[in-house]
Amino acid sequence: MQQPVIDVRGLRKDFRNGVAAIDGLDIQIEAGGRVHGFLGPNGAGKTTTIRCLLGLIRPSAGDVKLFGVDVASNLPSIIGRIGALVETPKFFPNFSGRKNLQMLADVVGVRSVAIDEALDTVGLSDRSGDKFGTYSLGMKQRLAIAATLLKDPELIILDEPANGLDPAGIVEIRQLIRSLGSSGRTVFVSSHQLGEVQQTCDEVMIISKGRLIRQGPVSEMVSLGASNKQIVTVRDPAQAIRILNDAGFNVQPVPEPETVHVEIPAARADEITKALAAHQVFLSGMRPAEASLESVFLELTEGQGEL
Amino acid sequence: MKLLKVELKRFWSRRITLIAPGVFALLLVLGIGIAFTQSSADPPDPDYVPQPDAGCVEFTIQAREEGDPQLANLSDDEIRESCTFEDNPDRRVWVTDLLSLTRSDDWSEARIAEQEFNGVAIPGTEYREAKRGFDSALPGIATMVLILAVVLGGSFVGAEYRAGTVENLLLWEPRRIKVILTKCLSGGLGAALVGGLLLVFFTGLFFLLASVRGTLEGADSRFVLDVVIVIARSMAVTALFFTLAVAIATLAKNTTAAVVAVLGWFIVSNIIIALVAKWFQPFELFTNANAVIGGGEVAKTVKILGGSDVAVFSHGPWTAFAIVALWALIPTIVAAFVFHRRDLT
Repeated sequence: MQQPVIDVRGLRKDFRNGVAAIDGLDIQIEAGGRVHGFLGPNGAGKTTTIRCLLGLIRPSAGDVKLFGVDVASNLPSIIGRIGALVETPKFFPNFSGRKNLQMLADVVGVRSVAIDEALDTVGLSDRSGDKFGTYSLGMKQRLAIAATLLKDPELIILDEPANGLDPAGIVEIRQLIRSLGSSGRTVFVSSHQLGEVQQTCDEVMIISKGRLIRQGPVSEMVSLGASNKQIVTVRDPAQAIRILNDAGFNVQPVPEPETVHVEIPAARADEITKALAAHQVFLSGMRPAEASLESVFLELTEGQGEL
Repeated sequence: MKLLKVELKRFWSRRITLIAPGVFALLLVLGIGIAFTQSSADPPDPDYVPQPDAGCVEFTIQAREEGDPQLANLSDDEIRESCTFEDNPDRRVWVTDLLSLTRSDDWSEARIAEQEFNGVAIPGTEYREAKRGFDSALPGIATMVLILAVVLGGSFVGAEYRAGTVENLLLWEPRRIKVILTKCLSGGLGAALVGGLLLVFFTGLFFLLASVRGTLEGADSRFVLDVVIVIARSMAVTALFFTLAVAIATLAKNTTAAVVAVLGWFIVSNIIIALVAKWFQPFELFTNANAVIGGGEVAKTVKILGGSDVAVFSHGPWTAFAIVALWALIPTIVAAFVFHRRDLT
């Protein structure tokens, strides 16, 4: 059996204020060119988990292994196989983008041509001589991604890589992440932008309150929220809600005008028409609610923090 | 070795590495410039003495007897009168302040010499006095270099925490003990070199000044060797002070803490020790640093019969160096331990 690239078991991190940022988290990610999304509400423990993976934080309990190697005791032996961006880009503001990359590259003896390639990949070649402090947030983010590519890593860990990017930049990063996955690398990416994750990732993990609550292929996750909701358009939503409630339907009022959401499989949607028509209420439209990762995420993490 | 090269490169790439020593060098130039303007190539305003000057009388009579036409008509008494300040304002005894490379402040030398006044060569006594002797100025400047090293050391690590780059570095080199020790080593070497260059620069400036406004008397090869040794010792202490600052900045995660801690200690340590812990004086950081730089001794206070305090020999420069090294080493070990265990959140 192939060794998991990321193997986290029973991970726990208690901070000094008594808060358990991670509470028994288990993650296993197999090697291979796949992109894994890591989702969770604010404060769910995503960044803390990533920091534990990279040895920046010492876990209170549990095992963290990358490429089968214990991170706590032997991270130096595998750090060359990992490229990572944690939260905001962190570079020296008075050094140019290129010089910042050069400093990192020199630590492990990466060739200068790799710097050119990385800068080219993220579209920063033209501005590489400018001071990092003069970069826009998007450029800083791209430089940080360039830094993760320098080592030609097998595992890439990206924490909110699209933060601060404009729409065009987001599309570029999405394409870049996809291409990294296609080239055989394992990409582990946390993000708040669920639409992006849906379009970019093959698999997704959702955590909340420091625990894994769901893991699986994106398509499978999306299908979880796909089937059971119908969007009904009627002239008098209040009356429709009353009728449908009396008929035993699970009805949710929504802020949109002349609209109610009814929980029922698409195959039984005709029951809605029948119930309303029996009371001389006629709907002017009905369609199944569109399934999205966002709706699944919100459903799974309902009441557990904001996105 | 790669990390050492990177850290050295970073040390030399930092603006403060150029700006702070640059400002320091400018202050040295300014100080030397002030010394230049306050000294004079001509004899300074003469000092008058209220009694006949034996040398003056002797040389003037001798000049008359050798046929000096301007002195031919003067009798011995008139010569004596002319050699007395009160009766003859032209009679001058002069003091020449010398910027001396080799003489200390308390040195002075008198010699019979002539000075020309209104076209007349008047013999008299010249008193040569050394001012701002180089051998006392150099250790003083070296102590200021130590403060500069603290600023460089504190900011070397403080800037990393401010920019968050220490986290980035650990994604490339996760061995934290290696990281902090490399920072101490690379920055210490760099700071020692900066300090050494500044002291060489100061030596050159003072040499230049003494050559035009004083004397290079005694500046032989032995003297040069002594200067080199003082600079070498200063460089070693500078590296240790840099390391101390790195350790404090690592513990506090900022530059200011290191600078305030060391400067604060520099300012108040003597007061604190005098008030509450006189026994600690021989172990005080700057006392020992100065002893190393100047090659001097460290004294300790003992009570003698009758209850008076007297200063007696405690230890020499080698022990002083060991004590300064401990001042740097102990915080560095603590900082390395804390940094190794610290969560970077």
